[in-house]
Amino acid sequence: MAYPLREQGNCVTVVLDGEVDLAASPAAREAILEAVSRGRHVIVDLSTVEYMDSSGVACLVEGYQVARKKGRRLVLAGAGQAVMNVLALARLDRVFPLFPDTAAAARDCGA
Amino acid sequence: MTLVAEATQAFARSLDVDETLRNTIARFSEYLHAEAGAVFLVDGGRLVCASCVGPVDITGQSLPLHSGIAGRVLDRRRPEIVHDVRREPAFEASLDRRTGFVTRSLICVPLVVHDEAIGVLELVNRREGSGRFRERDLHLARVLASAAALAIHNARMVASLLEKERIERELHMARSIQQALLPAEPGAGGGLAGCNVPATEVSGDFFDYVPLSDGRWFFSLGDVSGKGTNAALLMAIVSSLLRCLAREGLSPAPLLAHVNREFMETAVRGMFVTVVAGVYDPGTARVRIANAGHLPALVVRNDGRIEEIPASGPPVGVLERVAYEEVEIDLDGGVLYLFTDGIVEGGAALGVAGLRARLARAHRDGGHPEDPCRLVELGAGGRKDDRTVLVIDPRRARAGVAGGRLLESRIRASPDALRQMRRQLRGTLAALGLSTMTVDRLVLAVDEALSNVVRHAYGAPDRGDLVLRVELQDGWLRFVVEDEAPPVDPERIRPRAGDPLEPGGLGLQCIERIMDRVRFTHREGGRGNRFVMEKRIMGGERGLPAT
Repeated sequence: MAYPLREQGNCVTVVLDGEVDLAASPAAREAILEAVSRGRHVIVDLSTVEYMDSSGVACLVEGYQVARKKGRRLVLAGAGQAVMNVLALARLDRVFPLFPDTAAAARDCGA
Repeated sequence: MTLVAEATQAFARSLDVDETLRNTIARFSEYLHAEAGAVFLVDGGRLVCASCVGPVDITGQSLPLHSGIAGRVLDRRRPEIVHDVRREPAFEASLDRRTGFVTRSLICVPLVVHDEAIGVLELVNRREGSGRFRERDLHLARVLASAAALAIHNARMVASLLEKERIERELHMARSIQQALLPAEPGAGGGLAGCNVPATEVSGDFFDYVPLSDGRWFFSLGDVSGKGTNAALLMAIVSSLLRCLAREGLSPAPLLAHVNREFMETAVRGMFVTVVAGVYDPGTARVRIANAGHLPALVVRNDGRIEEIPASGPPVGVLERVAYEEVEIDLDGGVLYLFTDGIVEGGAALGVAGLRARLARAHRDGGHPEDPCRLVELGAGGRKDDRTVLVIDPRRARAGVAGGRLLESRIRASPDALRQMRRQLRGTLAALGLSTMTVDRLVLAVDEALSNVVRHAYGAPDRGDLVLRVELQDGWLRFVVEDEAPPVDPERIRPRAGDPLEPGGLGLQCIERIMDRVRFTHREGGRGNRFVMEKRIMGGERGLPAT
C-alpha cells in the first residue's frame, strides 16, 4: 500500500488512512520521509486514520526528527480519538504541532 | 431630560427593582413637586402598593382592581390627571381613611408590558403653584412608567428563571437519589446487567437485581404509568417492596400478587405499574419469571430463535384480586432480555419487531449478547419516554464466576495477521459492555504485545504461530500471549523511560500504561515465551465495568 502525497508550493501533505499498524507502517514511514525530503512544510493528514499503533507513532516521530534536523517543519492534522489516545499514551501529544484539519495546518505553513 | 435618561438607565442596570423603583419614584416626585408617589401592581385580584414615597408608607396596602381612578386607568390603559379628587365620584377613599393622608390631586399612569397592564403609577398632590398637575407632567410620568414597567417585568423574569433553576436542581437531586436505588455494578459475575436512561431528570422506569441467601438472584424491571416526580416516587416504593419481599423468600408470581395488594391499599388512584420479576440461578442457568402487564420478556437463543414470556396478568395496581403465573426457562444457550416501552415505541425506536430482528441477528452472527447500554441508545431518537434494559446472560456469568475463557485464537506471527486478531478481540471486549475508550486501549495494548512477538521474539514474519487467550476472572481481564520462538531475555522486556522521542520501547510503554499488571515468563519445556497482561474491570462506573 502506498500513501499519496499532495504538493502545493513548499508544503507537502501525506495522507495516511485506515489502520496504521505493523503491516502498514513501513509504507507510512516511506511516505513521510519522502515528504520531508521534498517540502519545507510537511502536513500529515490523519483525519481518516482509524487505528494507529506504536509502529505508526514511530513513523511520525522519525519524520518529525528528520524534519527538525533539516530545519523543516512537520505537523499533524485531523487526528481523531484513536490517534490522540496512542499519542497521549506515548506522551507525545504535546510534542507534535496539532491542527484540527489540513486547511488549518496549511494556513500555519503560509500556503 | 437627564432625569428620565438616568431613571431609564438605572432600571435597565438594576435587578434590585424595589430599591430602584423607590429611588426613581422619589426623584420624579421631587421633580414634579408631588407630595407622594406610589406604584401599585396587580396581585391576587387587588392593586397592591409595591413601592412608595411620601409622608405615609402604604407599601403592601391595596386598592380594588376594577374600581376607583387607579382601577379605571388600569382597565382603560389610559393615563389620567385629576385636579380635585373631591369632584371625582370614582375616587377610592379607603386608603386615605386608613392612613389619614388626604389626596387632593393626582396623576395616574398605567404600567404596560407586552400589551398587559401590570399596575399603575400614581403621583399625588402637587405642592407648587396652583396645586394642579400639568399636561407635561403627565408626559414625564408616562416615560417613568414605561421604564418602571419594563424593570418590573425583567425582575419577574429573573425570579421565574431562578425558580426554574431551583426546580431543576431539585430534580437533579431526585435523579441522583433514584440512581442510587439502581444496581451500580453487573451482578452474578457479570451475568446480570442493566441500564436506565430517564426521559426527564427522574424516571418512572426501574430495574433491580440482588443476591438471595441461597446464591440465586432476584431481578425485576418495571415501568410506572406517568412520568416525572410522582412516577419516580412510586418507582422507588415498588422496587423497594419487590426487593424486600423477594428476600423474604417469595417466588415471583405470589410476590407480584402481594405487591399488587399493597399497591391497591396505598397507591395513588389511577397509577399502575407493569413489572417483570424473576429469580435467576447462576448455577443451573435457569430462570423463574412472572410478568404483570409488561411487554414480553425475550429469550434469544444462540441460533437467533426467540421465545416470548408474555404477561400472565394485569399490571400491578389495576385490579383488587389477581393471580399471576410463573414460568421456568432454561437459559442455557440463550440470553434473557427485559426492556421497557421507551426502547421500542416512539421517536426513532425500532418497534418490537425491529428489536426482535436485531437481537436475532446479533445472536446468529456473533453469538454475542447485546449490551444493555447500547440497547437503550436504540430508542434515543424520540426521547419521550424513559428507556430501560436488563440482560441476563448465563455465559457471561459463568465466565465471570468460574474463570471463563472469552477468546482463544491462534494466528501466524505476521504483521498482516494482526488486523484480524484485533477485530476478534474488539468483538470480545465490546460484548463485555466496556466503554469504547477502554476497548480501544485494551486492543492497542494487546496489539503491541503481538507486534513485539512478531518483531522481536521471532525476529521476522511467518516464522511461527502466536496464540492469544482472553480470560475473565473475579473482575480481572487476563490477556495471555504465547509464542514458540526461542526464549527472550526478560531484561529486554522493559519499557524505556525518558525522552518520548527516543525510538523503541514505545509499545511496552503503552502496554504498561494501559494494563494493571504485566509479567513475562518462558513457557514450560524451554520453547516459547508467555506474556501476561491483566486489567481490573469490575467495580467502578455505574452499570459498567470500571476502566
